[in-house]
Amino acid sequence: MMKKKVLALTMALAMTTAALAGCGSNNGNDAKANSDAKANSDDKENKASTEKDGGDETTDVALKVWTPEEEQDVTKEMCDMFAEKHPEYNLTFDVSVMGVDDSIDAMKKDNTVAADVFLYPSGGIAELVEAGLIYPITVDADAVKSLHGEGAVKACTLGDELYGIPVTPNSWFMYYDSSKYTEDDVKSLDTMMAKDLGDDMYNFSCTISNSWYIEAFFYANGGTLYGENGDDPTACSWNDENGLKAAQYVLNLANNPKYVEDSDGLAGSLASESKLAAFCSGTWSAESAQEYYGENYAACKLPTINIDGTDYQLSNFADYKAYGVNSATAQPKAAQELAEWLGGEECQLLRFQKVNSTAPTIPALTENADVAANKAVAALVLQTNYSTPNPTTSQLNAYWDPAAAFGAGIINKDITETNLQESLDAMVEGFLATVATGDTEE
Amino acid sequence: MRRIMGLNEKALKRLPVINLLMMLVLLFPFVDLPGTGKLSGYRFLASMYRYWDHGLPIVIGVIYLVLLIAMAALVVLLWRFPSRAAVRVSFGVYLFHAVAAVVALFTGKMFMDASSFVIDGGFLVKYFGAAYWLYLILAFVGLAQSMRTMKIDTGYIVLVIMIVIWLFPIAWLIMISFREESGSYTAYFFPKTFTVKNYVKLLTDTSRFQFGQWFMNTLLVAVCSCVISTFLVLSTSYTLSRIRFAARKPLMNVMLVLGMFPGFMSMIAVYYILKGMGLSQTLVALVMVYSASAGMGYYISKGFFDTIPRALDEAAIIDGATRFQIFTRITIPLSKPIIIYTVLMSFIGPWADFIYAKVILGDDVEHYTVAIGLYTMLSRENIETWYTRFAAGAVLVSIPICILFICLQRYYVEGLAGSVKG
Amino acid sequence: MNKSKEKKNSVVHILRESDTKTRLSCLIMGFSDMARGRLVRGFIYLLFEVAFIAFMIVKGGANLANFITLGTNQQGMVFNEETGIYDVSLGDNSMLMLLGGVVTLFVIAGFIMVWLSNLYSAFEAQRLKEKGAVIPGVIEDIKSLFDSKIHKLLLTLPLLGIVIFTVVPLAYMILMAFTNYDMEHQPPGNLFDWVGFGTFVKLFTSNNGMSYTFWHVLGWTLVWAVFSTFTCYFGGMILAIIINRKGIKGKGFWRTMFVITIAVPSFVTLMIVRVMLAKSGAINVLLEDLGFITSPLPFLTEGTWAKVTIIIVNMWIGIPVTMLITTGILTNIPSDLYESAAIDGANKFQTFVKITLPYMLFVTTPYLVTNFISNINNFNAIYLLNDGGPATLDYFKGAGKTDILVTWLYKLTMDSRDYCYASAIGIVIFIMSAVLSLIVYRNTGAYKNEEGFQ
Repeated sequence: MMKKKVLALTMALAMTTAALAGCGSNNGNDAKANSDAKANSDDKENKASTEKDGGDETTDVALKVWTPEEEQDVTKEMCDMFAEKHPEYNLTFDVSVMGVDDSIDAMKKDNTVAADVFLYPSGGIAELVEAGLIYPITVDADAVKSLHGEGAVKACTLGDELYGIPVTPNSWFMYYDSSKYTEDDVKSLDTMMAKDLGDDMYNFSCTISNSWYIEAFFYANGGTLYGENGDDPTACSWNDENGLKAAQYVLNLANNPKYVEDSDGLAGSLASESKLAAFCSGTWSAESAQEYYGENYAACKLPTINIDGTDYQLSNFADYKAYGVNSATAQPKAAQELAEWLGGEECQLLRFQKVNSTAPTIPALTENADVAANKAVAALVLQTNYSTPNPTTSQLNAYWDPAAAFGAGIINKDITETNLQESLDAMVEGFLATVATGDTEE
Repeated sequence: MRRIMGLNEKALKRLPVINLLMMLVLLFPFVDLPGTGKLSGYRFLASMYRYWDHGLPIVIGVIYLVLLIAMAALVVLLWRFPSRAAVRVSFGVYLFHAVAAVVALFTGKMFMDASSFVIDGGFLVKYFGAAYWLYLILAFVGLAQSMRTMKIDTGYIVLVIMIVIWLFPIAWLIMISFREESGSYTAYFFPKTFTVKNYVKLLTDTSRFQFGQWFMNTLLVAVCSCVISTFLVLSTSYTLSRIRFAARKPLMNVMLVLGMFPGFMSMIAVYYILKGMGLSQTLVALVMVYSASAGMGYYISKGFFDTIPRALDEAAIIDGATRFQIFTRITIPLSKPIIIYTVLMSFIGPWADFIYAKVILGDDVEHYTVAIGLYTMLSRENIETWYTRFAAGAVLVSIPICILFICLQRYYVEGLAGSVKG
Repeated sequence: MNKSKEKKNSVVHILRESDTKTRLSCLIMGFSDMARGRLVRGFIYLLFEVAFIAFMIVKGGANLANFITLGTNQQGMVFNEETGIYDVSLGDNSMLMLLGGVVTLFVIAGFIMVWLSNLYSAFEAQRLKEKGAVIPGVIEDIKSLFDSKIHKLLLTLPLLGIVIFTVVPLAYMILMAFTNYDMEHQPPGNLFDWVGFGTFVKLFTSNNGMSYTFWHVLGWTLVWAVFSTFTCYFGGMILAIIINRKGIKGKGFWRTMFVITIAVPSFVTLMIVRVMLAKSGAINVLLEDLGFITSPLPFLTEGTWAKVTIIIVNMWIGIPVTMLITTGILTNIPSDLYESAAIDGANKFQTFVKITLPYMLFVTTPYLVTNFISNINNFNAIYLLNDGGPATLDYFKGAGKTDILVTWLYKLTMDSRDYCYASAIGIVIFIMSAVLSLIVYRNTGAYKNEEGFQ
């Protein structure tokens, strides 16, 4: 029995340690602990100094910023500029690396240690708001709204509140080889596909099996996802007559031997071997596309598609990379100001100049000669005029998997004319399904 | 037939028969082209006069004739004058046939497309006629039989084929890592230009991926966690194997099944527990995550300890040794294989895990491990530029583990063998 | 431990037999020990008690209350006209409350064990005193830790690690299945609550996509586990037998060649193979160039193809490992068995079926079971090779045609964040694996007769 006893002792020790460990984590819901956890030493100094100075001189402010790797240096520079402009704050910055696509996950994991100001894709707004992770931006909100393009502001707005400062369109357009296609050719996908470019040449590439790409076809001929305004979790028109026609178009395109589905970097590889005349991608491919196509490098908005004799413009999601403010920040005002600065005119220009030609969202900048001369950026900016705002309902979460499955079904030839309508119905059913109700209403 | 020492009589008798069959097969249609008709040895020979002007057909024809004559001679030789030398010659001939058959399979298209027998859409392997497949099979059967005659193990054939298959992806990985052209896909198999640039860039270009730093982090974590895991596993399994105490069997059962719960969802809990300890985003946290629960993996080493004779312990107790001394002075020195097995297994973990590491380390890029870095290189934005460097990184990661495995595999085998004797 | 002895040590028994000092130990821990000269030991018990009470007052009580409600206070935002920004009124975080509650419960459980240990110790001290024996002091206690009680010394750290990093998270995770912690109830903005067995009912029986997907994915999980385990097992064994044959020279060389494939981290090889097997990947390019095929084979893009491909690729990974493991065991097979078989004129196949296979199966059953279970949980092979794809509209919540339960679980947590469903699936996997392995282990010779083979 002595053995049992010491075993017990052991366990007890374990428990105590675990308990002590748990203590800290239990504080997470406590506002005070929250700010303590943030930037402890800085914060304490902050409180001390505010008391000392009576609160109207300088405030110590520690802000953490999340940006992707490639923007680290330029963001630090921008932060320093921000510090100069705001003598009322005694600022310390912590600029950390976080990929744009990873930031929502990281916020959800633990927003009490996350950045005060973070870069995220605007499509995630509903999710962030739903989970209470993001601050509405109210400091000088009107100035922001008038500064940025309408589309960009709309993408960053949910309800009446602005939840992010747009930084750059996070979307895709078309690169092409200007020795293969003229500027007139690339206006219509049908013209492009019809052109004979030789045996060993693909005419066009896209990623139908990716739910960030396939929507362009359904939006083109007027389909709606989650209602007209994208806020109705129970509506989607993609399986109606028009949707069927769009789907039929996608099906024909995918079965065209001149089309190649891009995945795992295939399009880039083909383009580099001069086997692909046009492909869809974002600005991240600009540098390599330039390398592949050399002096024939060109970029433009997405082409139109012809359905029943009418040309419809392909219209992808109008997603933007935006700076948002963490709802757990200890310095909401300064954080909002910083976000606005980072998305402001000066910084957008700086980012365009220094980081892979990041496209701006401010109309005054998009007309800038340098910006307009950059083919990829000009194409992206142009495409944003034809894009459709992301749905704002958090039901959007249910969109990605069925849409990708539908695209994959077409690419893998599981979906053919015979089961096209059926598959569309299944896809839409998936979009509208919630776990709470079960997915069907048979 | 004379008896020859050291040769397998039964197999020896089969050799000339196979040889005869092969000669026969060589005369039957090798390819069966739709439209053009069958192309066989005798027809080829009969129509050879048409190709006098071309050099190549004559060469082929001569080789063909010489081959037939040589094979006929070999049949006679094996039948009438069987000797070790004759068998060796036949081994050589069959090896030649086997290689030729395989090469033909892989180059058939190239030659057929280049020759005058072009058909629409190019040559396909399915146009090979029955004679070819028979030839392929007979070549290998003959090879096996001549090996058997010489009492050489035919397992070599299987091993060679398997090694080719198994090393193929590895060779490909190495090749990509030295490929000059970037991108994940190439329409050709062998790189056009070889370069070490990928390695240089990977180690020196730290603007996006601090590979060198991450490599050292991983090494540190791997070493620390394998030391701690080994300690935990050994003390758990020794206790469970040697000491009898009340809760022993239930404890063993519970620990056995605990590890069967998929761990993904507990990641968040582990993260908050570590955060509570003030350890999140540190390498120490990572070491703890990888090693803290190592005790659950007691099973194999307990099996090993069970096989160490208890008499040794008893003798030591009579000499006045404490249990602790028995553990450190007797059991551990006898357990080299199982210690090495445990070390190896826990050393590998940190090199391959990117899911846990990412959750624990969050935005602390300085402390990342290589696996996170390698995985990020394959993201949509990075894959075009980074694929070849990813391969280089993978090769670098594999080298230390590879060396360890090669040096220590003997112990690995012994440790495992020892632990499952019952 | 027989029952009568246990009874003698039961709490009731002790309380009946004990004197005032011992009984007082129930309230003031360590009292009996301290009163009878074991100061240090008694003091440690007391310290535990004080620490525990302090913890319960400061945190524990609240934690328990929160554990029951999982939070009542939703996070809110109120616009502050004065500053022009919203003020966040932080609400309760259900997730942390759940975790905090679990930790507190474990602390209480731990404390009860310490308390019991304190009682035994008190009683022991009383007995020793009554007998007039010398009560061992601290030095003796510590010494015994290195000898008769070495298991306490050696097991402390391993168990500590397991409890903190496995058991506590596990309990947290299991409890999640009984809440409605899904996509629509994400903390910190929302609260989630206990829902009992609702999640399981939906998962198993409800007539919707969820249960359809669950049963289909479960089916493929089992098929996958069976095939992947046995292909690797027999493949590895045959390879080991070939290498171990007398006629094969350079055994070390052959083994090393295969070992190299183990050394490359499997996620790297899987990512490489994934690209190789893609529609325009190296394999298809090669096959097309060599004239084997005219259009690319759908290795990973067609349901059945993908399933077969994954099993084959898994053989590539698994066979060398099994080869290493079986190599050692093969050399343990008594050679006289083979000799007598040779005398009886058995051929190689017969020897394999009659001698090698039964012996190997007998010896490696635990390994086989472990392998089977690790294949049920084989995340890497499925997820990295093909993301569980090809994606299909037949399944609910992102599951693809080759998804097994564990990869679907991962998608549920990472993509749609339906933690309660993921947790319920985790419990199913766990019960399946645990039952199977316990049945098998308890029937192995190694378990039944531990002393038998030395």
